[in-house]
Order: sequence, then structure tokens, then C-alpha cells
Amino acid sequence: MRPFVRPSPMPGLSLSLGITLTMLSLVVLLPMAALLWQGASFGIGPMWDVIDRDRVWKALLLSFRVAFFAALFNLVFGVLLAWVLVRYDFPGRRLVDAAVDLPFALPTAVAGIALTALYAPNGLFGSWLKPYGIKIAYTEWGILIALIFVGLPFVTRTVQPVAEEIDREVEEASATLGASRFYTLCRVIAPMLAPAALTGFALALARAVGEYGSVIFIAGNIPMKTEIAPLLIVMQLEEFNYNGAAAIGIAMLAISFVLLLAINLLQIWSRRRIGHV
Amino acid sequence: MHIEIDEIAKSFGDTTALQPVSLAIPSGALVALLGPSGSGKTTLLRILGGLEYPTSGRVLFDGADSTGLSVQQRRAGFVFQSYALFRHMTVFENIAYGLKARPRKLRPPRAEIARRVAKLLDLIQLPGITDRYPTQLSGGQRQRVALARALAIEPRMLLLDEPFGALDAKVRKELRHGLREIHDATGLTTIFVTHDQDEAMELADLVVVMSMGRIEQVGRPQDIRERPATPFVREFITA
Repeated sequence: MRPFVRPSPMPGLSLSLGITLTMLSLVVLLPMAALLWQGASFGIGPMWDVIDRDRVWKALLLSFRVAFFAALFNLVFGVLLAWVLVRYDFPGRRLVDAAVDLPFALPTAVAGIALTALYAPNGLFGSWLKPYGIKIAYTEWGILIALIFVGLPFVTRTVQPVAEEIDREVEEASATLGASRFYTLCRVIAPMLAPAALTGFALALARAVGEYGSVIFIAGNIPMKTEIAPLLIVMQLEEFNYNGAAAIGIAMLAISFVLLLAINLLQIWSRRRIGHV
Repeated sequence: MHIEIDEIAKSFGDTTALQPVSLAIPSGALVALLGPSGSGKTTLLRILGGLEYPTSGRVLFDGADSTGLSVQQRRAGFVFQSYALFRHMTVFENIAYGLKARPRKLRPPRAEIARRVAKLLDLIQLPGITDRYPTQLSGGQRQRVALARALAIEPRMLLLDEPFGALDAKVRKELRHGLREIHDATGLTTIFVTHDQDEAMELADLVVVMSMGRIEQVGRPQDIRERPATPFVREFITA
């Protein structure tokens, strides 16, 4: 039989694997197991009854739909931002570069309140948009903006180092072969950035699905309309309905797992294309 | 194609890469730009390829002023020192790239592209590697694939930047031979940059010795060896 740990010239595998697995178990797997445990003791039938309500379905759909579009927006603009930061030198570049991380540092509630203040009908942008009948805060658009805000750094920060690695000569080679700038962008640069961009997309999506702090301020939380799934969980908890909270939590976990698995497969495929590195 | 360089100068900010230089390259010649690093040889090559615009002066291709032609319009087959192969594409896709990148009207049909790629792979004596990725090739193979890729666009001239720089001595000798053969087979005006005088002397019909952004001497290898025009050339050749 092949030994579980194959001998390697690099020492320390069992030690580092041990530490890693212990940490992973303590920090990630145990809480998840507790969640599943709570659900299991509640029973599949009752759990389904909690989830299978119009209000919960609407909330789940809203959470994942808006998170998806926010991540999609971040994918496009995050890549663009990374490219601009890597390729062009302009006054204030370092400042912009540093500002990208701000959504990480800012408490999300602060972001939510700030965005609400701006986009509320009496806010700076909101009052300006109001005459045109455009309402941002307390609608899905408000949620979208909040999720875009919290997810922005992910794509930019994952793509940036990869963009830095791209050799200028590869682009020049493409041009000498007669390819237009656009063709080069689609056929040479995009495939090289794709795996990193997908990673960023997955991170931004995961972050947006679970986001709570900033959304509850700007969403207005109208049941069936702008009520996100994490808020429903909190509401169940406030009513001491731990089983109900666990049920919705497990539903979110299951959907997220399927989504992230799909993205991972897509990533493996795109990485194989640029593979053999 | 006959190439004429007319008083070309190039500076990057305060630093002068090229003093005004003039040079006429006869059609079908195999020319070496020889000089130490910083002599401006690569800059001159990049100006010919359209990757750099000169600060002043003109470039004439077959007598027509081509200074303002874009890289894409020049149709110069360019082999980079790093080869700059597309590593997410197979050898086939790399070589076919220039043909596939053409606007629809000028793009050859699929079968024609496949036929041409096969022919080029024969020319570089590497048939049967179509499905490999660049990272699965040896240095010498990569260099030849880069050459085939440059030839696929039916270039008007062939420009090579230190084409043998990253290879070991044995492969270098073989590929020198290969370049000579390809040059003779295609009849393309070929210009390569090198800092290795043996390489220049052995391979080129015409050697252009450069230093500090100036052309020191232009001549056939034996002329340069026998009658160095300046002390710099004498020293560089015997070094």
C-alpha cells in the first residue's frame, strides 16, 4: 500500500499539515459542524418547513441574485482597476492603490450608513436622482451598491500581482503579428488574467452573500422585497428560534457550496488552459 | 525588401539611445547589428519593427517612407529575446496566431492555416509538436517556434533580438545554422541583434558594429576583421 504521506525532500509536511488541519478544524469546520448538528437535531422535515416559505425563498433569491450581480460588477471593474493600477503611472496612483483596501478596513455598518446617507431620497445623490424617479436606497439597487462596495478589493487584489507578471514582450509580440489591441486583449491578456479574476469573483461573491452589516442600513428591509437572508437569520435568533436560524443558515451554506464548487471547477478549467506553468 | 534608415535618432527623456544614424540594407541580406549592451542596437531593431518611434529621422521600406506605419502594418516578423510565446496556447495556436488575428476578409480558411502551420513546422524541423505547450519545450525548440510564428504572417522582413542569447553553446551553433538555412530558403531581409562577434562574423553577410548609439563600421565580416575602421571596432573584434 502507498503510504499516506509520501517521502519528500522538503521536510515538515506532517507538522505543517497537522497544524493546518487543527486550525482549520477549530476555526472553520467545528462551527459548521455545530450548525449542521443544530439542523440535524431539528430534523429535515421541520427544517424544510422553515425554508419552504415564500418570505424565505424571496430572501434567499434576493441575497444570491444581488450578490451575483455585485460580484459580476466587481469582476469587470476590479480587473479594470487592477490593470490601470499596474500599467499606468498617474499622480495619486499610490493613493488610489491604498484606497482599494478601505472597504476591508471600514466597519461595514459605517459603510452602510454612509451609503444610505448619500443615496436616501434626501441625501446628496438621492435628492439629485429623485426628480428622475430613480430610487436607490431602500431598493435592490441600494443593496447592490453596498455589496459592490464591500466586494471591490477582492478582484483587484487577486488580479494585480498576476497583471504585474505579464511580460510586455508578449503584448508586443501579438502586435508584431498583426493583432489589433482589442484582439490582444481578448486572446492574450484576458486568458492570462482569467484564473485570478475568477478567484476574486468567487471571493467577492462569497463575501457578498454573507454580508449583513452594510446592507441592513441601506436595504430598508421590506419583507418579500428588500429583506436579505442573513437578516432573516438574525430575526429568528432574536425570537430565540435557533432551529429556524440554523435551517436558513444551512440553506445558504448548501447554495454557497454548490456555487463555489462550480466556480472552482471553472477555475481548474481556465487554469489548465494557461497551465503547464 | 530594401530597408533604408535615414538619420534615425532616439532619446528616452534625457538619455540618448541613438545618435542620428543612417544605414542602407540591401534586399535579402542577412545583417548583424553587433555591439556591447547600451550601444543602441536593440533600439534600432525595435524602431524598424515599429515597437518604438524614432525621435527624428525616417525609415524607408523599398523606397517608401514607412516611419509612421504602425507595428501591425509593418508586417515585420519579430523574434524576441525571451521568445514571448503565448504560454496558454499550444505550438499550433502560437504559430497560427498571426493568421487568425487577421480581419475576416484576409483570414485564410481553417484548412489553409493548418497547412501553413504544418509547413512551417517542417521548415523549423519540429514536426509533430503541434499540441505541446511552450513550457513543455526546450529552449532551442521555443526559439524555433518563435521563429515559425514570426514567419507565419508572411513578413516583409525578419527581425531578431539576441535570438541565441538564452541558449547553451551547442544548441546555439545548431540554431545559427538553422537561421542561415531559413534565411536562404525564404530570401527575407533578416536583421539580428547580437553582442557576440563570433556569431555576427559567422552568420551575417553584413555586419553593423555599433557603440554608444553610433554606427562605428558597416562591412562584410572579413572587411571588418581585416580593416577595422576605428579603435573601438579593433578592440571589440579582438576581445
